Amino acid sequence: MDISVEQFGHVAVVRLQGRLDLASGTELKQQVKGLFSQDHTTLHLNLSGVEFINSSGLGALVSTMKETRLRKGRLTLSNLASYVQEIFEITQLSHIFEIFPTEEEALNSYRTPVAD
Amino acid sequence: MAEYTYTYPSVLESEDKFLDDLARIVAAEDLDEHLANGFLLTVSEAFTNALVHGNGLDPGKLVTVVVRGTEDGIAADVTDEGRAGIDSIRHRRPAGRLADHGRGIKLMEYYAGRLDFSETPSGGLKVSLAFDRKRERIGQ
Repeated sequence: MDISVEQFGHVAVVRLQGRLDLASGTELKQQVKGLFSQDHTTLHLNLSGVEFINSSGLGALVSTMKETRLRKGRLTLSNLASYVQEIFEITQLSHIFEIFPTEEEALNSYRTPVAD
Repeated sequence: MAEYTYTYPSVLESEDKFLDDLARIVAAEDLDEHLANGFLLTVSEAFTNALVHGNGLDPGKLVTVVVRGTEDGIAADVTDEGRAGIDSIRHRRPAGRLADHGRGIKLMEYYAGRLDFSETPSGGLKVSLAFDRKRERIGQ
């Protein structure tokens, strides 16, 4: 999996390309840990390049969300392919993550206050 | 009927090779997109369970994957060389909402037309998954 990070204001945008499974999920968690160590706790994950995800990959995303919450940060996701969206719905993770159709919409949400 | 048999050592690096092999089978069997996605996902769930939980990432233990493609459908058996056998399935707990693990079997149950667990004579776990080409959504 290729993981790239770009900074937009205070939001670290992480773009994933390839398969998100057990090995790459571990890689993602390491990458996010590096961002946390640089005090980046506002993260956006763009999943447009994710061509495959399984429960290990989902576990890595859940772990990232929990770590973000622990640090009082915020995590958003965008650009889920339809079959990835379906997997989120089956596992009910669609109710737990903040998911936006596009990266632009996700980044816009950081500019406006989020209602409780 | 086409039959494909692969064995993999229980190391993390096997995951990518297994997915490459499975993707080639999906292409050769000309599965439609939804069936292909469900097949790749569920067999990968069984494979990861075998690799990590069954064989405990012991490089000396193998995961064997046998896939059979027919006109009517496609089926796969994933077998580990562990000792936990069927008890590992019987005693599993449902994943909590924020658990990092435990969603694999739920996904297998959703997508597969048939899902069976059995124990090998040496105590390993064999997961058998079958899919029907004709049903648009076979887990329903």
